[in-house]
Amino acid sequence: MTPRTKTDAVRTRARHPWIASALLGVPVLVALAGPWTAGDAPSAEGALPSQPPGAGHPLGTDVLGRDVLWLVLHGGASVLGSALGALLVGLAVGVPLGLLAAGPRRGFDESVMRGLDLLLAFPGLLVLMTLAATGHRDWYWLVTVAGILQVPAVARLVRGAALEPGSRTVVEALWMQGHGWAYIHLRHLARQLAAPLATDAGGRFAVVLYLLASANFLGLGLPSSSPDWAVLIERNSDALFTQPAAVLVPAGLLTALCVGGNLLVDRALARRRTDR
Amino acid sequence: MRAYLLRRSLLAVIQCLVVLVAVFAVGTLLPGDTADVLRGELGTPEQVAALRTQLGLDEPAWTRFGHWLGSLLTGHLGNSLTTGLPVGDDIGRRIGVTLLLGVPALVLVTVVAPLLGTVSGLREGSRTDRTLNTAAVVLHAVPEFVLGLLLVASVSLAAGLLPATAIGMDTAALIAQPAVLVLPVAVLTARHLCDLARQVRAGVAAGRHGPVAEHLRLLGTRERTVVLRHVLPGALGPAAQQFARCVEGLLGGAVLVESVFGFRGLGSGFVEAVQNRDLPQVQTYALLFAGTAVVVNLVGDLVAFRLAPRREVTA
Amino acid sequence: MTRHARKPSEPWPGNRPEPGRRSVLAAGGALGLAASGLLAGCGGDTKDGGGGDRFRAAFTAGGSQETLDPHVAPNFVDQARAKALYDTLATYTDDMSARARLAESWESDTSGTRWRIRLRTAEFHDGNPVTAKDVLHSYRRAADPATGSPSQVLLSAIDFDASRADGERSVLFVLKAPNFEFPTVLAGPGTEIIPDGTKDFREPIGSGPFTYVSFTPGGTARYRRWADHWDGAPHIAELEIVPANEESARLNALLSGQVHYAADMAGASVERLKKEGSTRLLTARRATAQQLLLRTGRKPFDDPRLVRAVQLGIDREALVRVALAGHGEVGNDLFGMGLRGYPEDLEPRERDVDEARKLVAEAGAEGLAVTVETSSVDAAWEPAAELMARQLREFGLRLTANTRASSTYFSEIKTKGVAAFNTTSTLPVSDFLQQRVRGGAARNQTQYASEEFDALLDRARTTRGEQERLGLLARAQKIARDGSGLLVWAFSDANDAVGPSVSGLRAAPPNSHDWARFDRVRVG
Repeated sequence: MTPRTKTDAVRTRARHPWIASALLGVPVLVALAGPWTAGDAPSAEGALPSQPPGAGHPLGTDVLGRDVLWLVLHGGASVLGSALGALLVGLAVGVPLGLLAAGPRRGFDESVMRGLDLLLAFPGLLVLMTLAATGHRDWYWLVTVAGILQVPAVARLVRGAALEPGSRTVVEALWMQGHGWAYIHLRHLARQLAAPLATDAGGRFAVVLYLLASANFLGLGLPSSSPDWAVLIERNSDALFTQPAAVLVPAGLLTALCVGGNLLVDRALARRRTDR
Repeated sequence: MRAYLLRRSLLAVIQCLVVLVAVFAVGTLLPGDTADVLRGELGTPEQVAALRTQLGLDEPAWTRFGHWLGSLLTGHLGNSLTTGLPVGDDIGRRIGVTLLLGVPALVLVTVVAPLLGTVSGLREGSRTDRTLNTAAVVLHAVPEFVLGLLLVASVSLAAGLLPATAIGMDTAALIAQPAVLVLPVAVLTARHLCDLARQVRAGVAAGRHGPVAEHLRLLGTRERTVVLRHVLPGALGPAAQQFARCVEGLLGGAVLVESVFGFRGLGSGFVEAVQNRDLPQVQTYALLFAGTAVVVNLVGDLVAFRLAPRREVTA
Repeated sequence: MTRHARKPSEPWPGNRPEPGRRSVLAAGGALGLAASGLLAGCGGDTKDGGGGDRFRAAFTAGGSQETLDPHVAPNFVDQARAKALYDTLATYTDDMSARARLAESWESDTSGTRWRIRLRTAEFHDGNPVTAKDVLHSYRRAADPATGSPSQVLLSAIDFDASRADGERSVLFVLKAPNFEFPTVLAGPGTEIIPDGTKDFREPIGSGPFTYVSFTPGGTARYRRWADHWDGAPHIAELEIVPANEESARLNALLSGQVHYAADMAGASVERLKKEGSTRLLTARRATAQQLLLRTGRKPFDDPRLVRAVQLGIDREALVRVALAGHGEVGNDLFGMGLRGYPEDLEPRERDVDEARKLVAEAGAEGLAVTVETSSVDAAWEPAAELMARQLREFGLRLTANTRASSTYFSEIKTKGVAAFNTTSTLPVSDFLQQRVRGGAARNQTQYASEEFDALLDRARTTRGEQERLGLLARAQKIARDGSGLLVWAFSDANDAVGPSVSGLRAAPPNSHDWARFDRVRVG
């Protein structure tokens, strides 16, 4: 197994990531530009629900008799926003906790990690069901809970990566050189953690996405009539075989988004390594 | 090491207790009680009140929790409010189903994910890597129920190769007909496997180009040794912790797979218990999940510790 | 999704199952994920799943709280199981009139207070005859509030101290008040006849067409054909009732031949089954009355003008087309379309937005915010709430939906909120009026109280001539239709599906005799 051969690096650099860019770009474009391109909201009368593509409805209708094309054009922003929001909550809380745990204070490590174990051991489903049943249904509850549910995973990942032997060696070296805690953590560890964190965040985005969508069915978060892509997928799942467009178009957009995003992250990491 | 284990075990007990108290506290926030659920729409106030007295739900919530905790200390998990039978009965019936789904899935994840991740990571940028990696990303991003329903439609309904559902089958029937398990295990495995494989891949790719690997190479260490001694352990450390959560996901989070394929496992049992407001049962599930999570995390930490012993950074 | 918990129902198994995938997907996500045997599930049987001898039926089940106690029968599946093991004195025809079953005949005195029931010759599975004592024990038990029978309120009209056995096969029931509609009580769910003294249902003994083999709560129930049943032995040797709460699981099991019968198919599954061709749909029209309950005892709907405005302002055609996906028909604000006792000569409600707007203005309620309680109990409610919100906005009311947890929905709406969705399966019209619309009745959720209506109901109960009695009921219903606050906006279909080799089952309304009548079924 040859390490980092010349051809490796050349190949990576030469290939323009147009497929990955397109996969990421199309959903983002639809989400951002969609609301300006489409016409009026569906009328109150409503067409027949779950009709396959046909006259007047290029992508057919959804389970509530609304035009799928219109919904798809309007449902991107909320899904991207809330998933990113939850992810940010997870990272904002998880990364500092992970670093704290990996830091020099042994006591911190124990209390942080055992505390997070508690969170991990607590059935998140119960929290969601309780929130829904007690009327705490606003989107920010959901985004917060979805984010907090990611904290133990993120913190563990950060701690694990920060304690990785290679990393420790360098940290010790930097420590010896008299660099301060902040320098080590902000500069060196940030570089060190970028790879696993970015990979994890890419995958976690999908997890959060579907967590948000499924919570919707407990009556949490966005209303079930929202055009949100994730909500559309869940709502129309029963019609997967009679009106596939209502599920597969938003699912395709979300999948493309995740795939494109992940591939670009992978690529960026590979470039960083080979360019170093 | 032994002292560490002992301390963690003691902590584990305390952790479970804290989780139980929290679960009970959250559970009491749920609207309605078992009497409301059991009598439902038709229950007259008279009928609901009669049942409430019969079930002892007229006692204060914390008194009931105290009773339950007391009986737990003597080794009894209490009786289900909805059935009046020991809660262990129902959970016992379900645990076999969950193990039949979870253990094969876990074995698959454990074996295949590091393998694929390593292969991919060592050949980063190659055709093999791109294919594997793209497949993993796609599988990870496809909604599970879409994957499940499409698999059933193609493999079972159209091709007639495997059974479509497991409805009406208990643990013994499932063991007699393992073919039933193929599709659900595939769906259950897909996301975790892809997640873990990508994690390992990233770790391997990063480690291979990391300063330590470069340093070892400069010292003339063979590439094989660099990979086996340094790169892999470094990548598997974080992965081991990732894996810990995946165990928990497979155990309690199989609700979707259970429902698409008609299994009666722990996941749907927990949802049912919450919906029935059957707190003794909810608490027993919580104890089971919390216990598993704590133990698995401990094991994950020990593995990570072996792979990357924590060193004190002292000035 | 999951739809899981029990689904409380109207007077008995009535509505659609629980929130299926909803809760289920959420669960999966929340916890962080969240071929040789061939078409198996039934050993070496044929592709059709039963080998012609064993019949498998898939239902939404009630989970681990289930028992085989026939007097506690909250869900459809309980009713199907009770039908296999037990008999009732009478049974419902499709239009919910009572027909003799274990009873051979009944007659009342001229006052309608004393009823003599003659039993046919029948045996329990243990060989003992069905006697008057068994009937009295069964009814006493079901009338006890602690038992939890859906028919408890109706049975409590019996004066058990005065009632007695009159020989082996004759019972004399004395009622606390005259009631010429009493025979419908004999067909009610939760009135199954069990052997005298029965308290335990672990090895249940009944007089029904099948005998007990095995059962686990929330799991499979197995039965064997009972050759000595008085109505003739079943055609199939074994019956298996298997739980599958997820609709797609029931559908896939049916399509792949793992089961012969899949209960409760909705929307998209119905469309798919229609295309499939090989399976057969059993569609019972007008099976479920879809209701919007407006609480007339509270603000704002204590103002009859607002009730009237909603009656006139909702677009029922659109609601049927969208919320019911076309699988139903428009309702006329009265329960029981097509059933015995329903007034046939009613004009349909024509939508009149202008009139509705005028009424809202008169009531000074323009822009008034109203919350409607809803839940995932019935898949039609949330889309209906969404659509109604848009329709009500056209005449000045702002409707928002409040989604409540499904398993406690019905107990919560008993006391909370001003408007709520509800569904009711087919049951006798007179029972519905007595229990749901009469002033002060325990299940009267709109708090409607009309002395005129109650007086008409009382007169009907004490009127001997049937035509005259039904005429009085019709008059009462016309009064309640406008004022009760119980709006029946649609009737939805109920769909079950059977495999290609199944015969002997027909589409029948829920709660009627022929629904899930597996002793008449043939396979192959």
